[in-house]
Amino acid sequence: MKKIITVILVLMMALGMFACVATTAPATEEPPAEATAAAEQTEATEAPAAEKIYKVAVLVPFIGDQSYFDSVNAGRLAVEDYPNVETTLIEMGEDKSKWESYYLDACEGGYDLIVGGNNDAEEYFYAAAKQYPDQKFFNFDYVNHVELPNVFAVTYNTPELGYVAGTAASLITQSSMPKANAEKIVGIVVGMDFPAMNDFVSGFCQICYENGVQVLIGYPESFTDSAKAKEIALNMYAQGADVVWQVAGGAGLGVFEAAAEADKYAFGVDSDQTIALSGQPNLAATIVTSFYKDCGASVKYAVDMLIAGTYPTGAKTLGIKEGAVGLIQNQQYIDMVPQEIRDQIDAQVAKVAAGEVTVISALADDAAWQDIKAKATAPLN
Amino acid sequence: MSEFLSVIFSEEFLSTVIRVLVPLLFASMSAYIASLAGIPNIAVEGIMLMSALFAVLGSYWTQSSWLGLLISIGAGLVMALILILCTIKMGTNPILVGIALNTFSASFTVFLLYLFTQNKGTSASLASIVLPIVNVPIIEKIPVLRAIFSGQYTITYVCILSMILLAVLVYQTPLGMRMKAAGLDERAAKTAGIDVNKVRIIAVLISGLLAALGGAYMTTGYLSIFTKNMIAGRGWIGIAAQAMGGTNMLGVAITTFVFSLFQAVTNVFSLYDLPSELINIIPYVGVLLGIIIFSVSTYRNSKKG
Repeated sequence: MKKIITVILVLMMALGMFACVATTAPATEEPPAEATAAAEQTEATEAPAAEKIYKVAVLVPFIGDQSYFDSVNAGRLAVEDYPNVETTLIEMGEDKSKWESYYLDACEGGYDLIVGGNNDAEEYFYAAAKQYPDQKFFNFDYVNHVELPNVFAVTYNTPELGYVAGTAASLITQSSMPKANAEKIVGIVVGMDFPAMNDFVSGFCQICYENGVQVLIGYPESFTDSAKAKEIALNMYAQGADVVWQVAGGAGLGVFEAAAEADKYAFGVDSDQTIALSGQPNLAATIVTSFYKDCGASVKYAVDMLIAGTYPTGAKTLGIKEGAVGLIQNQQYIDMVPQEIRDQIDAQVAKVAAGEVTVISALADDAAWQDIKAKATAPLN
Repeated sequence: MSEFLSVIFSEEFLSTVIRVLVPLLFASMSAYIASLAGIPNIAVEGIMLMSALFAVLGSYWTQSSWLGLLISIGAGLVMALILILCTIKMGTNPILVGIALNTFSASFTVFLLYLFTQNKGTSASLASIVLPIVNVPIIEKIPVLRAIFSGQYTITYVCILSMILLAVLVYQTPLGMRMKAAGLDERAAKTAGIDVNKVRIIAVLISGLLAALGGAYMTTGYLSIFTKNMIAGRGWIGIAAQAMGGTNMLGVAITTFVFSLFQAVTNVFSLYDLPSELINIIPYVGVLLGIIIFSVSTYRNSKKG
């Protein structure tokens, strides 16, 4: 028995040593790498002929969601084409406990700019930014911005996006388009019930209520359970909705399946989802248009400023006016939606861009959001 | 409220319950048959996920939904074989193997997805094919029955058939008896001359087959696209149902039905202006209540005995 215990103890100690080696190894390897990077940089400044190479790291949980993070990656690929920019995509995975170390590793990696953040990762993003005051950071979609001299953050006017989507939905449900029914009901499937997601819904509800259209809101409480999203959307269509907007990431694909089964309309989100659904033409055919939030464009914007030497600090909101949010006007949209409805949507978009409409934000004003939610979801008499 | 009741008491709602029920029933029966023979299979979730992906990939490769289904079943059986190899041949703890298979499957499906579609989220860019929706000639005209037995996805009928076959296997054949014996007391079964390992291998293979069908159902009709982690806990709910029903197949089936009923009610409820946190815990509260009632009744029975 004693022997076994000794063997176990020895093994544990040996493993412990390995663990120490594993954690310290990158740290000991890091400085030389940094030193060479620094050396390269000084060389670059000494010889003006050789242009400075800007190293940009982009940290996202994963790519391939066909919408949000892919849009960030598209921005990264756009700047990758610049001759003087080198980018690194760091996929952190979905285990949040590892995110902090990914950020700290990136800070040690000698990058000129670290792109990251968003609702989920902000905590780690700002912690790293505080710890490395000389490192420039860019938060591509902030919710709770922390004012730091080395951080530039943007957010998108999602309520405006919801408002435009609501405009289109309420016009389509009252139109004589082939799949539109008599009931003035529209639906929205939202991944989870939290303020940053409800920010999509508040503007949607506001314009629908103004237009006398009832809104059905469904939360599958998951961004991956497409079957549940499909069931919720099928219920919406069964209750008279003729168009449903999905704001649920991967789970939202279930909404298109429901639309195909019920032979009704659906709206996509974040990027042109007809492209993503190229393998399933019957599902793509249900998508009237997609309402995008162009994170990629803002990544490019930040890198451009970095290269120009005018990297800003602080926070900025990008909306319809800046072209950061809007709707996709592809051939399918033009074929499906009659000219007069498109004109009405364009007119409303112009109004929002001109600042003539005050859109309710669920994030900024919870009381107003609860109020409009109750009003818009109440059954019509 | 009246609107809500009219939704609940409609044929449409009944067919919703059936749609939700099928994957859960496959999952719980998969867990049931394995645990009946004494090998707790907690890899149901992982097997379902793997089969769901292979149903899409298979139908895309062969351009035939039936061959896709076969490939998907094959993937499920391979997973079951790994479980057999590790637990029965090499004596590993089945729970550990189950955990390993689940975590492996969660990541390996994403790896395969990326390999074949260059996309880590969904298979939306693959032109996969789904199995047809079956309309049964006479039944489709009978109210209520038609909601259950007609216009469902192909695998729903496979589900009905396999439940009947499973019940016959477990309650009417010597093999079913041997499985129970192997599960109840391995040594006693061996003394009675039962080849316990053989019986267990068969049970785990059937378990893999059922889980594979449950996974294939998700992407061959119910949905047509594979989404990362799309099984979303259905395998685990099946295991919970099995735990409640124990060795009683009808008990497991009824528990699963109650779960899916709660799930369908949740889907309807979520459209009303009620706090979604509360709505989404309905199925789990249902499970908890079920377990409490079950434990109380077992406790009372044990006291009587």
